[in-house]
Amino acid sequence: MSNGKKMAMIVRLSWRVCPSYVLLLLANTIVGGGQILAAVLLPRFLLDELTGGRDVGRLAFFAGCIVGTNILFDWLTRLVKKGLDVRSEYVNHKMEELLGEKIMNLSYTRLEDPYYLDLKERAAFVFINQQAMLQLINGAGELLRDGITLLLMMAILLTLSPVLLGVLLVLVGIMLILQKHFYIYQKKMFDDVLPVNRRYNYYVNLTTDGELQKDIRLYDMAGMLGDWVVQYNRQIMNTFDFHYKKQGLYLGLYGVINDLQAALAYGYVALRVATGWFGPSISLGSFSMYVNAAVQFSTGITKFGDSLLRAGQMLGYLDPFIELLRLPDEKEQKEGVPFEGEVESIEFSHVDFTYPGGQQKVLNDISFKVNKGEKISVVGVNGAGKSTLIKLLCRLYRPDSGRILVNGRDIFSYEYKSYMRQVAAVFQDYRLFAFTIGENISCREQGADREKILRLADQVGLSEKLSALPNGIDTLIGKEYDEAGTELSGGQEQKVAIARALYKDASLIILDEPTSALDPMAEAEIYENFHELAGGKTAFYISHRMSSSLFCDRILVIDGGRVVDFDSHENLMKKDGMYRRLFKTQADNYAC
Amino acid sequence: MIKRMLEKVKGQRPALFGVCALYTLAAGLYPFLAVLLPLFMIGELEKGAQASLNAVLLIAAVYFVLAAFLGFMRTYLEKWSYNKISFLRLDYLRECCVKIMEMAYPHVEDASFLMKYEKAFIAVQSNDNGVEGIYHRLFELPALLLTILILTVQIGFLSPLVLLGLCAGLVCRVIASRKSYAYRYGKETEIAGWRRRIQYYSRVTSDFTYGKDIRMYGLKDRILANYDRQIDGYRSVRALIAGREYGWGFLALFGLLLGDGLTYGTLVRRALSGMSVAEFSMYLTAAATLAGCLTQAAEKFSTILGEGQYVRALFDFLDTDLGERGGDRPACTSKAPEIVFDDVSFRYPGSKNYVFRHLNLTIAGGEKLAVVGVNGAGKSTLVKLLMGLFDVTEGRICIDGIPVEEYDKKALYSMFAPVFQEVNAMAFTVRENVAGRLTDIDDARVEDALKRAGLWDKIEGLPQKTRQMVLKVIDENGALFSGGENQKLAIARALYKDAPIVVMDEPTAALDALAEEQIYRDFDGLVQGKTAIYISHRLASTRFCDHIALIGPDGVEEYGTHEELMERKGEYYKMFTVQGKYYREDAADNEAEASAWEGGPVYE
Repeated sequence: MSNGKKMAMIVRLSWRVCPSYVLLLLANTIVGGGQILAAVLLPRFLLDELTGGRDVGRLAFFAGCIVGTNILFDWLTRLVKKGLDVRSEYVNHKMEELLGEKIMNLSYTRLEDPYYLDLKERAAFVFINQQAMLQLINGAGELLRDGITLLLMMAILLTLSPVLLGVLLVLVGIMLILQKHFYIYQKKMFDDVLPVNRRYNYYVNLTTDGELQKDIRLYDMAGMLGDWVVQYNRQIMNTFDFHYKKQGLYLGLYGVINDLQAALAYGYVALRVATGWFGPSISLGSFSMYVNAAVQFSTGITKFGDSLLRAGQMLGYLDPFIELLRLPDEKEQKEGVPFEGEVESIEFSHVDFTYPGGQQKVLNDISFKVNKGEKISVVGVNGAGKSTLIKLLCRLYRPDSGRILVNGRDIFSYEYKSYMRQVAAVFQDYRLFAFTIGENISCREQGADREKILRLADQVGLSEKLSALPNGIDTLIGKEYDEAGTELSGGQEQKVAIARALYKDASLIILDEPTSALDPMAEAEIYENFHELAGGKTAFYISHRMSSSLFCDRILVIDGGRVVDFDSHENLMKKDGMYRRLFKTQADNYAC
Repeated sequence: MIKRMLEKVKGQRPALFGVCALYTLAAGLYPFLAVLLPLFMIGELEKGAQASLNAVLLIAAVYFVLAAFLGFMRTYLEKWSYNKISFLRLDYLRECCVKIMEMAYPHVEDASFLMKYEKAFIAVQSNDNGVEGIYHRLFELPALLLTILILTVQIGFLSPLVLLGLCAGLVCRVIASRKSYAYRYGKETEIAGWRRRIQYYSRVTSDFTYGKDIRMYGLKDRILANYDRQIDGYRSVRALIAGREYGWGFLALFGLLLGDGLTYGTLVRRALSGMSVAEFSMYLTAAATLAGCLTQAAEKFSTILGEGQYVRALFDFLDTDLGERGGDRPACTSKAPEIVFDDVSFRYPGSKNYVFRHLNLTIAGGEKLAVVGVNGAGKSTLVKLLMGLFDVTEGRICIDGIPVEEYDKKALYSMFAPVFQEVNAMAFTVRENVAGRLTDIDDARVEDALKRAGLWDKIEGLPQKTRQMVLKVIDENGALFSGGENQKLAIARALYKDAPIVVMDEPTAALDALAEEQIYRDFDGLVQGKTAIYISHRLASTRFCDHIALIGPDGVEEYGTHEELMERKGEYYKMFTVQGKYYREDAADNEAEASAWEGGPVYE
């Protein structure tokens, strides 16, 4: 995408999140341009009066005009700045929110694909690095202002001499060529340095990452991390050293051309005053006006070029952001049959699945059928494909081939929301949010059923913790967001997650390793209450605690992405298979 | 503060002083060319018909040569030094990072600590604020002051009144900007709160690991609504600040009126009494330049003052003893030290509730101790105290007879090889992850550790073996490990470290039955006669330990061998049977398995 288009996109996005900001940028342009125009035009009258009549009244009037307009424009600038100040960070945050919103709208498939993870990291960079986004948004306004000023100055110069303007423009042409060269070089250099910078940021963030601090201390890694930080520092610095020298050279040259323009303008306009060679002779006041216009023109060009360069640099950071924003939203899955009633049956029929970009089939010809109300335990070693199976059932991924049928229909043929209403899950890597405990369970801010929240909290064994909190279920989770929040232990968080799944009132409930952080007593409580908790719901239960299988009607044994067995505990224990081996291994430990 | 900053320059980049002097000359004199040019040029033109064309061209040419030279120098030197100055900041940043990695651990878990030193971290974050902001201003100020000095003398000779007007104007502007700055500074804590909450949502929305739950529980709209609320809240604070600044702006406008009015008034009066147009122009330019320079200088001073608060916070952070040193004892020499908890009570800093009280426990050298207890009993806390990550509230912990706080912190850390609950692989190569360093890595030992941890087969399958990068952050071909493999990597790291005390904190929570069993089986091999502590709520793990300590709010509540504790029929017995009964109940239905349960306690 060309830089112009990218810039246009930024302006469009700014307009979308805050139209008044774009209007203010326009106002800023007009005020800025007007200020310069006044500074160029007004002194002419004063100087002409000085060379002419030197009338006190007229002199005072012209001087007063100059002082007055100065103050007027200063006030206008402040007025606009007030509006811009309020909004600039706002727009920046809103843009960042757009990114977050986009990510939440993406098809989940992309979220486990390392490519998109990387893309996201790079996209977020425009908000982290040098506030690139903010600079860009503001830069767009500056570019416009400088551009308009340039046009105005050119118009003034044109009334004096097209030739002078032509000469000045030739010099501008030379500057532009220089600029282009520099720009190409700069783009390449930023492409080179960006990944290094990203790595540098990664290591710097590692050093302050709270979760790593124990490891860092006990394994004496401060030195190693420090070394990396320094090493990347050097690398970046060396590149930038070269870059800044080069930039100094280029900008220095622009300056020289600027000064040349000023000198030419002075010389030429002076000749126009002193001689009639190039046209009718002009007054000293006009001299001052034209010279000012020329100086404003040449400094304007430099500013414009500078803004352009910086914008170019910032736009270079923008590509991943744009790429991410342009990804299609997950299709509004409104089409399809609304799901009615409850989950009566679930059938996997020859389901194959490979992760995007993966080489190996994670699920290989999976077929099984589950009836309403059955409690199914899914068993297998790490990496057997248990969690993947669950993700497919939750419509986070589509099978490569084969079908998943619920109530006899392919799950993807149901309208998305009505289907998802029937499914609740506690994922292995579940996350809670910085809402209150109650809101985390009900997932709604208003209209939550407090009775139900309290009952569920009690059932999963949270009441003791809740009674210790002054605000009970209205306590915020986590201190990161708010000092008044409370930190929950891993076990307590798991309980909240289980209660959340139960609150949802879905007829299919999935629990992936729900008790790994619980102690034996709490675990036993969940096991024993499992039937009560799950009620008549169809349930899938994944756990490395083989004993949990006892509470389930049937056990689905998966190995290497294939179903190896699907039967009751009793029957499986009679066979000399995978399940018996796993069960016995753990049981032996309790054999005293 | 400034002195300390300059000393750093002297130590690290002394050349900057010289460059700054040259820059000062070039940038300080450059504005005069624009002031003097109208004087000569208009002066020549004022002669009317006598104006010499050669003189006009000469003036333009001389102007060009001088301006080109000084202007080029100014720009080039400024850019040349910009990056050198940035480097100074990065040096502070590194010091900051090292300090964070070495300070006493409780600060890490203390949210208010980060709040307290937030300013210190801001001081090293960006090019335009904090340390670097001040350095850049210090570099540019002398040139400005030079210009101001010369212009002041020049204008002062013409009319002190103009000078007075300009200065009064400046004072108005400075007051206005200081007042608005003070107002903003007062709002800083509130702003930090909004920012932190905005950041939270920015992270939650963009962190892919939240993706599943957001979709499963339809939380998108809820999160966006909250996100909006925070952004709007922040905006309203910004509006207050901008409003205040705008209000004070009227004082600045008055200052402008004063300066401009007196300048123009004086000059027009002089013109009426015969001042030439050339001089008039020159003084006008001079006054405008001086006003501009004064404002710039005031802004720079003001920034230095303002950012100084951040830099002071930074120096404060760097200078404060945050417990990174500890005592001065070297690490113990024994291969399997004895550990004694003597009447230890502990509560987390700032908390009223004790995690446990009066905990007494002796772990003989070379002994393997299992620590069990319900969630929140303080099992992990116990080892944090032992490793010196937290200090005991009462009582003391001795390793080989010496209290832990007397050991040098680094020496103390060097005595432990822990495997923590949560495992964090980092974006280093496999061998660097195992060795915890970049240089002097003993590859034979890396291989041995990986073999013993059971990860060697996997590593051998990687294209670059132990030199393969882990994670994809840095190298897109980096290796990704499963939870179990990460755990093994952590174990390999502990093995490589070969420290006299081994601590395992729930290392098998994420592992399947077979992998878990393997760790149990290999535990002896991993420990090899060292003193070892194994924390788990999988009670099965206790059978390969010499003793079991069940801890709770009252310290060690039960202690003994597995058999002794089962005999006691106390809490441990209860936990063990609860966990084991499911395996056992089954035995009743299944005669084929009956033999496995022989001798087990009869339950129910």
